[in-house]
Amino acid sequence: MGDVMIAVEKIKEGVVIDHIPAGKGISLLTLLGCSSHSKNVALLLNANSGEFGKKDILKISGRELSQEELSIVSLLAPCATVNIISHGEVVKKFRPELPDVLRVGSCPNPKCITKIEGAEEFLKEGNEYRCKYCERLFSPEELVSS
Amino acid sequence: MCFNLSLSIMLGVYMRDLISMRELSTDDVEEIFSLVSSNSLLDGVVVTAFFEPSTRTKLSFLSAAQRLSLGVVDMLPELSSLKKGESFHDTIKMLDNYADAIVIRSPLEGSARRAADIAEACVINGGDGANQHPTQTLIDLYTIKMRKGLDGIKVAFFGDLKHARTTNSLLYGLAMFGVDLLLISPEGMEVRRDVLEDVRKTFDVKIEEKRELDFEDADIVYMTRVQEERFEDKYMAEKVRRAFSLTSELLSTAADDALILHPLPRRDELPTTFDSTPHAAYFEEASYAVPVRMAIFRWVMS
Repeated sequence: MGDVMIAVEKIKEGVVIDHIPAGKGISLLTLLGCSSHSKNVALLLNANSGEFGKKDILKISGRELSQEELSIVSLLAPCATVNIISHGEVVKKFRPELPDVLRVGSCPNPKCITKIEGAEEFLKEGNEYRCKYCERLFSPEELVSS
Repeated sequence: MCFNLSLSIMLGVYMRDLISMRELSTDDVEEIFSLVSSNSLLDGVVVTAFFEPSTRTKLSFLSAAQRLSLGVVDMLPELSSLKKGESFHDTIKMLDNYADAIVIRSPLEGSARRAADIAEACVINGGDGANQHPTQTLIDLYTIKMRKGLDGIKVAFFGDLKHARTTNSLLYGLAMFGVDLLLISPEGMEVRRDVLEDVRKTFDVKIEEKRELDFEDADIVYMTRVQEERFEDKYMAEKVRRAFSLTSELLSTAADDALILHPLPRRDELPTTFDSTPHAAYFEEASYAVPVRMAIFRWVMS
């Protein structure tokens, strides 16, 4: 069977997250709560990418991303680009940066007080994050995969 | 958080928390030590909330508070509304109504900092899981300062360095004074990597890790109990406990006048045969618990 071109309709208003590492698209879709979104959501897995070989792409119609959601994108897919679409055109394109203070994610330490209290907060140290409470250091990926 | 600025300005009172050695400076430590000899008394009420067993820490805090004329209220978690499912947040909110200072111990790491976020009262960390035990560290440092001074010495840590919160705290405490550190532990029981890297990154200090039982003329041998309650593999705990107990032959590899410190309680890692030797400093160390914790109350509350 040869290559098959998959056509996904362009969105008029919303956001397209491109260059998601292949295999991370489903996790990102879940963490952004897209499964309960009332408008069109398209997830393309293993699309060809000149830069990465394979990539995932997430298109969400009629939705903007909050700062917290952009933090989730930067944690799970640091190389992803976010395209803001308005009237069918890309009006803004950027790569979300890892924030200095993170209030999303879950502390991977099962003995951390946040496991019963919530209120997660992580402080950036180099390329890692330190849990404000248990003081342990974690990679960005660990915070969204635990 | 315990920085009530408006109250501070009105009453000339400066209140703060003591949560982690990571936040203290050498000036802070010296200031606390300078308060050991103070005769000043304090006004207020202290609540002790210990969610984990304790003898020395809890009783010495209670004694310190009473010697300072502070009122004391001891919360007994097993008889509290925690048993009815009350949350940690609500529990601390309630304690905050009754206290000017809360001393908390919990098996959950970060519980003291979380309590400090919730309460207006000063919060003192009496040990949070395997994370930190800053007040024990201040007692350890005070003992070393009184007996040897903190300049140009070498401290050897020996045993289960993975689970002991006293080790984590003391590494920061010694490193900030530039003390050379020697860490001897069995495989799998090493100091947490992130703690070690943080200490190395923050302080210009010599740190050596090894498995061989040789104290290399260290001035202080710091021992800790194997924290069996924090082991998932109880057989491993027993193995470490047997392999890492102090002998006269091993102690002979330390400096001739080396001191043994131990936060206590001890098991068979530190045989009682050492108690009558000039090396034993652990009971003296324990005797500083009340005066140093009195100084800690003065530092956070006044």
